[in-house]
This record gives sequence, structure tokens and C-alpha cells, in this order.
Amino acid sequence: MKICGPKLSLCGLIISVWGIIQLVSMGLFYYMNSVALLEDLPIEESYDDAKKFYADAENGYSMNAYNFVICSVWDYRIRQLLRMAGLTDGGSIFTSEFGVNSNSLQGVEDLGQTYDEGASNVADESLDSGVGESGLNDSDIRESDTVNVELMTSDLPRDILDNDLIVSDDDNDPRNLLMENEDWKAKERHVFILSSSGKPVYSRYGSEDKMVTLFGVMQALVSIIEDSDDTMESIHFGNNVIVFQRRGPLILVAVSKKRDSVVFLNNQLTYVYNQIVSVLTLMQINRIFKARQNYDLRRLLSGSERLIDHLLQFHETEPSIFVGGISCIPMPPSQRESISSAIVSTCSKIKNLVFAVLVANNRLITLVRKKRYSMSPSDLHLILNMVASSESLKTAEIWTPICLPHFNANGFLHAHVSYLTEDTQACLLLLTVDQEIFFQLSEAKMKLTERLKKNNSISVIDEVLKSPPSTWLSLHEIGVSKIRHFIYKCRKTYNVLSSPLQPPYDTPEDANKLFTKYQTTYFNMMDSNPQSQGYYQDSPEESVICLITDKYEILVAMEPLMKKQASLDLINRLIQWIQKEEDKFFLSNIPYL
Amino acid sequence: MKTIEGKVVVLGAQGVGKTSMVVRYIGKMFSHHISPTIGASFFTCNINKGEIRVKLQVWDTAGQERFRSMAPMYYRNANAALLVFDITHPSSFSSIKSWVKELQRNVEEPLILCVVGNKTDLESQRKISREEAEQYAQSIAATYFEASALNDSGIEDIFLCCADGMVTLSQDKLVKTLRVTPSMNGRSDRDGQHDRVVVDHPTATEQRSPFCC
Repeated sequence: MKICGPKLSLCGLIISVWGIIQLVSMGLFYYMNSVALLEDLPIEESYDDAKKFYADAENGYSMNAYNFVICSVWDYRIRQLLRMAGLTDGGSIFTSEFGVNSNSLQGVEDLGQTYDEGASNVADESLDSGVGESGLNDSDIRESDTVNVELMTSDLPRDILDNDLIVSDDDNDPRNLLMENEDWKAKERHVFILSSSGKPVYSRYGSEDKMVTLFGVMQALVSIIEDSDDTMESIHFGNNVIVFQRRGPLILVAVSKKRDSVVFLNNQLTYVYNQIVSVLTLMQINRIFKARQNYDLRRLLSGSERLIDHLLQFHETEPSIFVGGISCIPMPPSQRESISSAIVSTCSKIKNLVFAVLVANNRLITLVRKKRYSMSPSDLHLILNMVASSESLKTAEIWTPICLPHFNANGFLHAHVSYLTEDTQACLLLLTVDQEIFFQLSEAKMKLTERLKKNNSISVIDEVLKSPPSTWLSLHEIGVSKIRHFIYKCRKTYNVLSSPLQPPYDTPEDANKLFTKYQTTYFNMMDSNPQSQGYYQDSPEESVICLITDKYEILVAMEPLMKKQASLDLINRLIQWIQKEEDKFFLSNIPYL
Repeated sequence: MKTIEGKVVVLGAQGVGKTSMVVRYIGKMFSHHISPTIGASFFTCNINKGEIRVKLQVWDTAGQERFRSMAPMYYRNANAALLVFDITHPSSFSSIKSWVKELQRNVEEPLILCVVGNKTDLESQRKISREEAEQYAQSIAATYFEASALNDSGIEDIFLCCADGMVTLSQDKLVKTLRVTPSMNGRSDRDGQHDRVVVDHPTATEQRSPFCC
């Protein structure tokens, strides 16, 4: 006999809709201070003072009204979040949402027990009936300062789950169309930013306007956990991870289906947050939200989305970023020095010039700074990101404010940005605190170009950029051809050296796979045990080894099935070679202006 | 030969084609995929008007809202302002009105105003009529132009008009921000000194005033 047919699900639908109506109307009655509900208020049995009684009663009414409204919104919206979280694999949709609900809304349960439990549990059961029991129990939420919600993946067939979902969602709602979009669902990493009042700020894919409800859910999740003095950090289920970061008035959310480590995703979100600060300054963000909590930050960020898009891409594909260092263009050390000294001699008389940075192809050529100031790698990455994502720089000189969060999160520096000549990749940035000296900088840049032309530096830079990477670094010539790829970071100078991507990593997909593996290895190691020095991960495709010492960090991809000792010997040989040749690859001496 | 050096600032909402216009005029090219300007781009160009060479320093500003608060830095001491809007976007037309108000409040010296309706190649989607824009331009004593950076129509006239305006302005003794160099050999020391002070430190006059009054 069929019990799980359309009639039952229709019945379930009606009951669940009724549940929402009931919750809303209860909220309304409480809001209107209905006397019939006085019994359910959290007030004392007897009062001596009428005033105190009124105050308590009013307080109780408004609290209950608030709880009921949240409860009903929660009831409807949590399904959407769970759907989003499941993205493509319907298998990870779980069913007993009210496990979270009743736990985090303890007050509601105590007060409106009959209504809340009655309505929601019936709705709940009706949804569950076809699926069986699964999902999370109260015990899954650990009572600690930070919450990591572990959710179990349901093993049930996908079609049953999908049917189940149709019951709970209005598929004709155009706002849901985006979440139905296969392309959108297929994306492996999502990033969302919203304000603490739930206003959308940014979504990596698709238009924020089409996922207002989704942003609402995220806001609800974060704020409900915060209400119980906890912090929502991450949700895990199957291969999926959702990481939350609260930064002042902003909430940043990363969703990944790639089994990424929480540390990696947090690192990515921190970069995104720094990018926003770099565009607006922290002071401006705080001031805006202090004045108007529901401000739509997209107004100020319009045109800057591409900076964030590019940064995310950059963060995932550039080895130096996730190890937190800087990679330089290889060059004979004397050549680099002559460029630096040309910059120093042209710019040293300019008052208030803080940094002069010469970059090309997302890498550093040289950096000159004022005494007492230093440039952090992550600030430099923001600069590289700006240069790489702004085509318009190529045609003219640019004069723009930019905030470097590690240098000073509350103020702008002013940057004169221009390519040295029209046909070179080398881009010069002069950063100053004085907004009046554009013409002085422009003149200095012209002089510098002349000097660099004269001493041949520009053609040297062009040659280096054109030459194949193997002229500088060939694993075969070093005699470690069993090493397929490596990333090396000097811990003292933050310089990073990585080998060119060669087969089998020469396609973007394969490179991406390798980097994901690196990221997991690296961040797991950072996360789990700061004392450990090495990490070895073997798989049929390759072995990934990560070594961390006081002096350096190295990530290596080796041919699989090698003996551990043999691998370590090769790595040692490689490290010795790097330490011998590092002058060419590293910017070890940062001259003062 | 006399040389006049003046500052032109290009203002307007995001995506109306400010950079496309300037690049079309100075670089003689057009790109469909131009990325949004950050801060402001600086260009120079020379226009010969008979015996006078006019050197325009063009500041092509970013239309993004976040740079709005930086705008005074770019339009300070300007001699001409190009107010660009997109004829298919009414909101970009209202945004030039607020730019005009801001300029009127903050710029004390005479300013050549040009209102430019860009994207005439999208005539079929036009939302702002020529008459409406002309009427508005008249009310603020500006010249109205229609242009298309895509088809390269009407753009040259705008810059020529700026150059003409500068020549007229240069005859006004009260205009201090224009840098006039009589001729290479006939230039007196005193004149050269005076001009340089004004241009190399564009804030010299500006900085003093708030504290005096």
C-alpha cells in the first residue's frame, strides 16, 4: 500500500503552511498585547507593584511577538539555505531543521510550547515522513563559545529528497530561479557578503537582487547564534563547507564544495574584506553603518565588484598568496639593485612619498620605502590585484586614492599609477600621503623612465618577461626531475619562489586540483599542529609534501610511490639550490627613500 | 607664439562614456570593453588656435560613487568642466545637475561649462530629448553638445570649444589659474615665476582662503 503519495504530501503542505500562518498570527496577537495570552508570558505569579507588572508584561509581549515572527520566517527560510548549501548534490539536503530551531530559540519553546511545537512539528513530520529520520540532533550543536555545526548527509535517493523540497518551496517565485540555475549551482566556491542587517553587498556569481531571501537566511543564522552569545564559524556536511566571518558591520560567507579547509576559506574571506576596506577605508564603513544600519553598501562598491572577482580568482591560482608571501620577477641581483637605486635617486627628494613599487605580470620587480614603514605582503597583493584588474591604466597616468589595510586601515594613500612606457608590462606605483603632489610625481616618473631606458633596465625587464620560465629555473637541471612542482617561502623575507607549471599540471583544471591539494595540506598543517614540521600525503596522482622550519616553508608535489627518505633527499637538494641562487629570485634588500 | 595651459575636468555618472570620449579624442580609438576608471586618469593634448597654442590638461574622473568624495581634488582650479551624460539614461542627466550645483558652490573662478549628451548612436533608445538638454545647458550658461564616442561624431567640437573658451579666459586678468606663457624668448622672468607658483602648487590660493575668511 502506498502511503507516501501526493495526497499525503498535499496534506503535509497544508499543515506546514498553516504552521507559518499560525506563527505569524500568534506574533501579531502578542504584538497587540492580547490579554488572552497573558498566561503564557514569562512573568512572575504575583506582583506588589502595578508599574512593574505592566513593564514586565509589555516586555514579555514584545519578546514573544518577536520570537514568533522569527520562528515563522525561520520555518520558511531555513529550507532555502539548506537547499543552497546542498547546491547540486541533493543528497546533502537534510530534514530536521527544527532541531536547530528549537535549540536556538529556547525561549519560544518554553513560552508558546503548544503553538510552536504543535505547528512546527506536524509540518516537520509531514516533510520527514517520506524520508525518514536523519539530520541533526540537539547534541550535535556543541556547547562551546564557537559553534561548528556538523550535519550528517542523508544517504537517501535524490528523487525522494527533491520531491520533498518541492513541497516547501514556491517554484514560481522568480526570485528562486537563480537558485534553480544549473550553472550557478555548479559553481564550486561561492562567496557572499551582506551587512549585519541582512542587506546584500556582494555575491561572487549571479545578481544579489535575485537572492535576497538567501541573504536573509545567512543573516538569520548568524544573528540567532549570536543571540545565544555564540559565534557561527562554520557548517560542515559531506564535502561541503560553509564558513562565516563577522567583521564589524559586515558578514562574509564562503561556501565550498571542494572539501576546503576552514582556514583556507577564512583566509580568502579576510582578503575579500581587506579589498573592501582598501576601496572604502574602515572608518568610512563604520561611519556609514553607524549612521544607517540598513545602508545598501553596493552603491559605494559599484564598479569595484570586479576587483573582488579578480581577487578571488587571484587568491585561488597564485601560489604566493595562500602561503602569504611575495614572488618576484627573476633578475640578476645587480640589475635589480640598479633599478632600485635609480628609483631612490629620482624620488628621494619628494617629501611624503611613502612607497615606490615596480611590478609586472602580478609579480614584484622592486620596492622602495620610506624609513620606518613597511609593506605587508597582503597589502602588496591588493596593489597587484588593482593593477591586474584595471585595463584603463594602460592608456594614461592614474591618480587614485587607495587604502592599504595593514598600513593604515582608516586612511587613504594616494597612488600615482602608470606603465613605464606604452609597450612594457612594468607598472610603477608611487604612493604618497600628500594629495597635492601629482605633478611632482608625474615628473619624477618621466625622469625615472628616461634613466631606466638609458641604463637598459627596461629592456632587461622586457626580456625577462618574454623568456620562458625554464631559463631561470629548471627542475631537470637541478637534478630533481622527480619533483614535479614546488612552492618555497622564505620566512624571514616573505619571498616566495614557485616552479613553472609543467605537465601534468599545465592545464588550468589540473593546476587547480594541485593547488587545492596544496591549500588543504598547508592549512591543515597550520591549523592542526603548529609544532609539526612535516606532512606527507600520498595519492595515486602525486605525493604532496609540506615542510615547515624556522627558516622556510616548502610545498612539493612529487611523483607518487617514492620512498620517503628518497623524497626528502631530493627536497634537500632543491632547498640547497634555492638558497644558493636566491639572490636572483628574491628581493632581499629593500632600500630606503 | 603664446601658450595657454588650462585644466579640463570630465565629470558624470558611471558608465556614460567619459573615458571612451577622452580616449577617442586623444588616442583616436574606441574599445567596447573599457574597464571602469579608478580615481582619475590624466591626459594632455595640444590644440593650435591660430597664433596661440592651447595645452589642455584633461582629468578624466571615475564615475563610481565611492570616488565622489574625492572629486574636489580633481576639479579644483579647473578652467573647464565637461559634464557628460548618457542620452538613454535619465538618471545620468539628473546626476550632472548635482555636479553643476557642486561646481557652482566650490569653484570661484570663471569656469567653461560644456554639457555633453553621449551615445547618440543609441538614438532609438533616447530618453533625454535634445531640447530638454539644450534648455538646461542654457540655464546654466553652458554649451550643449551631442556626441558618440562609438561613431566618433561631435567629440572634436567639444575640445575645440574648451580651447576657444580658454583663449577668451586668458584675456581676463582676474583668471589666475590659467598658465599663460607669452613665447619662449619673449618671456620675462617675473611672469614665468608668477605662473609657475600658481600651477605647480595648485592649492596655493585654495589653501589660504579657508583660513582667511
